[in-house]
Amino acid sequence: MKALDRKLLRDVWRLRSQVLTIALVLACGISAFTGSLSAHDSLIRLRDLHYEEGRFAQVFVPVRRAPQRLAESLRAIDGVTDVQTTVVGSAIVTLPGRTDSLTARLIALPDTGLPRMNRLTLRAGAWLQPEDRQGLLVSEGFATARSLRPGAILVLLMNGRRESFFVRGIVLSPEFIFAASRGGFSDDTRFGIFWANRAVLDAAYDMQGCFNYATLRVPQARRIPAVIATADRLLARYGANGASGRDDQLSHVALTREIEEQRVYGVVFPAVLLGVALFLLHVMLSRHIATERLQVAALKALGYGNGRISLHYLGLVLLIVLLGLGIGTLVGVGLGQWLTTLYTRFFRFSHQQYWLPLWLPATTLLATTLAAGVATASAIAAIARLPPAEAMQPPSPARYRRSLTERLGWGSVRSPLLAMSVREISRRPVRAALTAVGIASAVAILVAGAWWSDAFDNLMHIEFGLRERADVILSLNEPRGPAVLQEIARLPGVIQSEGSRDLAVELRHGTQRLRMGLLGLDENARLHRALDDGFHPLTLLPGSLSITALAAAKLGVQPGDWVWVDPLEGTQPTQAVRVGAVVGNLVGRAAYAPRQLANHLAGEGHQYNSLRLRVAADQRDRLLQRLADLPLVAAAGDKSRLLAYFRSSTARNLLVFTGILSVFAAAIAVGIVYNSARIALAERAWELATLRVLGLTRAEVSQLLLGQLALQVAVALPLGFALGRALAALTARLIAGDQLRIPLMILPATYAYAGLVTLAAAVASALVVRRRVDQLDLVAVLKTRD
Amino acid sequence: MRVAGAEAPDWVFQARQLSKTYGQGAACVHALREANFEIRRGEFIVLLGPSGSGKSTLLNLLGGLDTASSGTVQWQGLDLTQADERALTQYRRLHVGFVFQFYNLISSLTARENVQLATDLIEHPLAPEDALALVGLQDRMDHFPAQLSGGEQQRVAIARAIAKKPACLLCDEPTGALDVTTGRQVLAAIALANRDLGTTTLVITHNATIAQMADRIMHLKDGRIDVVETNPHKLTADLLSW
Repeated sequence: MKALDRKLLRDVWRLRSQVLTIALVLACGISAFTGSLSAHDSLIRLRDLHYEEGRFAQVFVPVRRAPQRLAESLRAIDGVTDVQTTVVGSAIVTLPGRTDSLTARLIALPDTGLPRMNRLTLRAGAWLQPEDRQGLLVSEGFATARSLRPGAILVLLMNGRRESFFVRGIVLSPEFIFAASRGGFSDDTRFGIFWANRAVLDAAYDMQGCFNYATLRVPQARRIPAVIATADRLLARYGANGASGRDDQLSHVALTREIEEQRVYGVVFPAVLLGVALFLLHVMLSRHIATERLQVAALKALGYGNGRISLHYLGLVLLIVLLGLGIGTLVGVGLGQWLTTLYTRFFRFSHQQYWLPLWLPATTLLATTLAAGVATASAIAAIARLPPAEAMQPPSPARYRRSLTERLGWGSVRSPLLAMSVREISRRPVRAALTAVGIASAVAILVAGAWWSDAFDNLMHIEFGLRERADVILSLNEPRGPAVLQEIARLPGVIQSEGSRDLAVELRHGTQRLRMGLLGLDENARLHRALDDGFHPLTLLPGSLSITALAAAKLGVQPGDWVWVDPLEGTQPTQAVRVGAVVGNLVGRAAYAPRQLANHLAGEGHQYNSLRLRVAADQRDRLLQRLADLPLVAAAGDKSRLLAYFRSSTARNLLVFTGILSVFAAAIAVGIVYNSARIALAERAWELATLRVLGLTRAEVSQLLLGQLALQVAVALPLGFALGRALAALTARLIAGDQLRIPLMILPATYAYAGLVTLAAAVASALVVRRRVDQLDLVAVLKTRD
Repeated sequence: MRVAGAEAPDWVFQARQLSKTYGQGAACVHALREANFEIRRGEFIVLLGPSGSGKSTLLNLLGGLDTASSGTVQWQGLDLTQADERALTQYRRLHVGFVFQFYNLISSLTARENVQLATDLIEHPLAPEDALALVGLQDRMDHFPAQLSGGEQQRVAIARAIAKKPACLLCDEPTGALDVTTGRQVLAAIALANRDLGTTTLVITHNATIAQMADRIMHLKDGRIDVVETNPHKLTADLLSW
């Protein structure tokens, strides 16, 4: 080993605590990057693999009741390569020995056997035999949540008919990787997907010779819009409910959003961490080279060239980068595996696998090495500028001047110790500012991580406290007159009942088209309210629509504009309706109208197809049981159970997510504070020793060293709060896209948490450095001038 | 070894068998061996000797910067060899003024503030301005070290040391980094503190000429006090030449 290489290894050992803390900050960034993006990549591969193997359809066509022969017309549409028609329906499910009622989506299997499109994957049990009229295939999510095995018995209430079934097999479907029920919220414990033979559903839903759902294969994406339009036209007189592509398919949309979240986390947070690590590298190397000026001069005097000496110091940087890369990639792979597994609890893929794409470690290696090279270039360049003769002399005193406030006469600093701190900061304002920004980034990451908990609570409050206030929501099999309200109100436990008319519509404005749900509410509705931009209840204007801000922006409409409303169910013609207001929903696309307008658009009289109930808590279970027996009820949703499920599953994820970010932030805070203090100690050891010789106590000298850092932490906290808010807004916007709106509300407790974690990390680092101040060897320090 | 003036009753320092070793076993270095001496109040002592003779070690022990390996050294009844860190800090704070070869000024503080650094530590110090005037720097008080010459910086260091009105002034090669003219100015300032303030003064130097200012000269060699000589004809700094 060459002597210079030996020196490098010894330097690394001597600087080990700084090397390690910087490598750890770097590792945090790399692990977040590798973990999130490899999970992102794995989820996309798992999705695509499942879609490919399951021949996932490109277009989905719900219709009320269309004759089977129309399948041929659909197949004849330009761009369509295959058509599969089936019957779907909803059912209320009861499990033997259980009182709670659950809902299910039933899908008929083709007479010919297994589906050609949206193929199922058998996970347990067996496929259905063609003549089996008592057998069901059950989605794995529901089967797992309800501990159902092949052979289990289920009782289904289908269109008023009650029948018992046996679970024959447990399956997965590319159409329901995320089992989303109405409203897009997934609750595997209460919502299942069942497949039965066609004859069963034909009989239950009176669909002999007809279908109410078709899926199309359209391999060429550019043909999809035309296919959708043609399918809608073909099926219009049979009660088309609006064909859609994958972009409107609930499972695909939810999955895509989650995958996109991973990409956002994989880019935003690591970028901050990497920036901090590079700053630390730069400062440490500058300082290291500055303290080694005598050695650099000696090496030059011996005949080593600038290149060789620069390489020597670059070696230190490279070692730190490699250490960070090694740790970061290992942890990142673990994190990626864990995240992928976590997602497969919610997303049911046909395969369970994790991939680390090679481009990821290659990118991190290249990016961090290049960035570290750039970050340390100025420090390395200082080597070349150092003339050997000058370097052999002790440096002249550093140039200081009075701080800006002193020069402006705004006040003089009475205490020399305070003056030292203030002037030290004003001598290197950029470094001081970057240190403060670095600490602030730790605070920001904590705020932006912990904020999700606030956002979730706020979202729940707005959605379920202000907007959707019913305890139980009923979907009716078909629209019914106002008498249904009295019928339901008479049931024991019902305190209040309200009806609404829900309608799927397509809105058109100029060349823009947008599909959404329209909710027709009665004038005095209290259990579901439209909210304005500030989330205050909004009075719906007679004869006009209120649409969400995101939908309004997409359509390019403002209050007062007219839009064409095309009901996607029934055969009613398109009508022009005025936009009365823009509302503050959290979901991207929705419209509200007075119930009379919804009825008018659907071409019917006073009718409801959805009821909302306020229910006495102690009678809720009995009521749900009664509702399950009512033929007119298609589905009954219990808000408290949905909320409990949300809270338990989301709270766990948020806790883990916040925990990981807290570790990252603590690493940054420790990395910055510890390194800054160590560098300050190294730079000022001589000065501090002098003060000790003059008679200052250890505490006084520590105060001087750490007081400056305390000042930077004090500046960093409010800055970090502001940065955290900005980072939260950025991630919210990137994640929300045009489907969601996430209100930016951060509670004081979240700021307090971020501040306290950072302070704790800073104090811990300061204490370690304080011990070094106590151990300052006065004689040894005073011997050397540099 | 000859010891002169050991019977003097008003000593401020008294050393007995004072030794300092660094390292252990084969690597053991005897920096100071069994030194015995007394120093009287107000004395001007010069420690002379080549590099490695033990001058700095002795000064560090007297200044409470280092601890002895064996033997004792007392400061007016306080056993410095037994004192803990806190007591040594208090000792330096209240009684000792240091002057270093490389001045050790705080570069972010002006001359006045460097002196104030010391005066803030005790009650009833000299005013920083008065201390600076004593060393002839009344016109340079608001300059930063980088704006001062080497001699001026050293005089600031002396002003900082004497502003506390310390009982003893310990100077480690105070003129080592200075030319003759500047060196004389600095020595004059040290002599002034010794004469006018009655500060017991110890000066380490390689420069035998400086010894002519002293009351007594301690010659050190290989860690031992070799000879202590009394100087009956003290010279003032302006008469020195080297």
